Amino acid sequence: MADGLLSVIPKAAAAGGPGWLSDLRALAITHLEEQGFPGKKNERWRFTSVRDVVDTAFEPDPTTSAAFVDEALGDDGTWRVVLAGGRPLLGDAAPPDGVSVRSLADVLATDPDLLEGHLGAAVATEQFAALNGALFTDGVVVHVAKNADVATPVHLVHVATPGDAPRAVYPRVVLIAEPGSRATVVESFLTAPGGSARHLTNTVAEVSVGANARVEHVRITDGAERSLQLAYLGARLDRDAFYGSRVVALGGALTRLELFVRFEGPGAEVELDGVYHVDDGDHVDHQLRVDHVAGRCTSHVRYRGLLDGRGHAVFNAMGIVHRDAAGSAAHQENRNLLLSDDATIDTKPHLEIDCDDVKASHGSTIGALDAGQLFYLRSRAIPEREARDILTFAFVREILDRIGHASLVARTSEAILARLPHGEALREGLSS
Amino acid sequence: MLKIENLHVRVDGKAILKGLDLELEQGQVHAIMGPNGSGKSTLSYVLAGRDGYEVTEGSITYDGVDLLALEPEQRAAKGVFLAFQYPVEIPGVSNVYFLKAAVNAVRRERGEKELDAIEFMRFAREKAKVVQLDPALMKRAVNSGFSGGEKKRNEIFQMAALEPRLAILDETDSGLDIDALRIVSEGVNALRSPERAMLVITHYQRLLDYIVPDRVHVLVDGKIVHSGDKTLASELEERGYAELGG
Repeated sequence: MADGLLSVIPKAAAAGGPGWLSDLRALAITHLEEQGFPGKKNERWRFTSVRDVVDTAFEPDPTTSAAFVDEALGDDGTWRVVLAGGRPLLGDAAPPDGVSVRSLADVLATDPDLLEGHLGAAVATEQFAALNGALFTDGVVVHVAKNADVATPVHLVHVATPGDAPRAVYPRVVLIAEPGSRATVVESFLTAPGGSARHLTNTVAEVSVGANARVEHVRITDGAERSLQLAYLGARLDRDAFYGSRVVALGGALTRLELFVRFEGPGAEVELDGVYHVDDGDHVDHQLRVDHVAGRCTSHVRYRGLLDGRGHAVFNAMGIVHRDAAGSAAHQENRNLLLSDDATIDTKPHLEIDCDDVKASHGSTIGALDAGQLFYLRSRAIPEREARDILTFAFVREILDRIGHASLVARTSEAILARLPHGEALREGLSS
Repeated sequence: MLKIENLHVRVDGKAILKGLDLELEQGQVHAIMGPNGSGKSTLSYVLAGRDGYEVTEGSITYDGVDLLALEPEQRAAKGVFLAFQYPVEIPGVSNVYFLKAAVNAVRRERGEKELDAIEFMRFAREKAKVVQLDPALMKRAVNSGFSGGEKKRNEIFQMAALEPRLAILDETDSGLDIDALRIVSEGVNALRSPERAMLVITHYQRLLDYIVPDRVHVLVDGKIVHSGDKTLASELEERGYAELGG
């Protein structure tokens, strides 16, 4: 293992920064050294192997540009920052009113107090969050001012640029929404063309939603063949806050998201929506955890999966209602559409409730296309293969629509249609 | 136009149709009446091509073609239309998108130019008038959350848009109150034409007061046991299936 991922750790320990940051790094390193990387015996890693990743000596990704992004995304009505090699390429364009977007390295150098209590606060003991904690040097800080209403989405575009040897980036994102603010943040994960080796993107995003603030957080991964995505996203909500997470995960050799939410003040609400698609060679893993610490909070987990080819998807959601969290409502739903006999899904939504006054539900389904619906479409002259794609897309469409922003709904819709066997036929129909 | 000869059909291994004969000419409207379990819905599904209906004997010829050899979508493209007794809800697919795909599939088969979005909307609005369909329903997901009456109107709206040569109406009157029945029937009557044949399947005579058939057939235990003109319907209502079926 000394040749693998952990070989870079000693260098990390020497990195500078304020005292609390050194403490955080030391904790992360200690944790990694004591725990090592997870194996199959770890419940949350039963269906996802990282042995391959752990044994690889990744080099830092030296990329400093990503010219393909503008063409790939077009004018999508968002305010964009590209991260290449894990560092933001901030130009002169000012961000939308009410929000500041800065490089994490700059903020650590000039204004570290802003981050205390926000950076590192949500990261507990997950190994890959700890790895990022030990190794990050840069990233982005998005700070939404008190009572600001920011209509234009702030869009962070994480670019993986594979080389001829394995490369990795460890960017960290901090999103602070001050009380009473409203904002939408989008994170897109794209892979640049070229290169022959694998590329690891190990991110941590920490989100603090202040009292009565509303944050929409969209996360789209493109899932390239050599792309490895190991991400941790932690969100904490103060009283009466709202956090809407909309995740779209389109395949990838290894795409894993740990999404941990914690209600710290009463009356808050989260919607955790997700869509995933797996086909041959894809492994997509979602690990969700919602901690109802404060009372009168509501959580809705709604994930839908499309399982094709020999794809493998994992879904594990845990809702925990703590003893004093009276008036909580916790709902989890994971529905899967099985499009091939060779695809696999391991799904486990579950709840732990230590409180009497709770409304809760959880369930998962795995099924094929509905024969009655298929016949209805065919009885109206729609060819079977087109009918199948129409129903497949319809299965996830409701969730995609919740992304809200029209250009992002269109982009994710098209990306899913592009992955369906006869999706081109539908694409034209939907745009009109 | 449609010739059914000695049709035997099994569902889940059980014989449902047991030697059904029926002939329908272009421009005619025939009613099939029968008690529950006589095989009425089986006949409509076999004509439309649903899986799970095993034809063990007999034939169905439509415009000189062996209908049973065609896939459901091929039948529909050639002008066969089934108005469902229980229209299917399809969340996530808008009515207008669904119908545009259907209309253009039929137009492709006929060698006509496909309609673009604007042309289709104009076309659909015209057709919606036939059954006074609320235009708001066009944007909603197919049949999702529609009332019973709205679903049946939506079926006749689709029929108006697809302009079939053979329309099979499977218990279109079921679940309709008297006002909805009148609107739906008027829609169907507006679509009667010398080029179009209709097979109206119903349990009750009530519908046939509105849609007056050229012929009435009585289906009992998988066979046509009696045929006559429109007066047969009221005779049935008075005397019951048991007596006529005997």
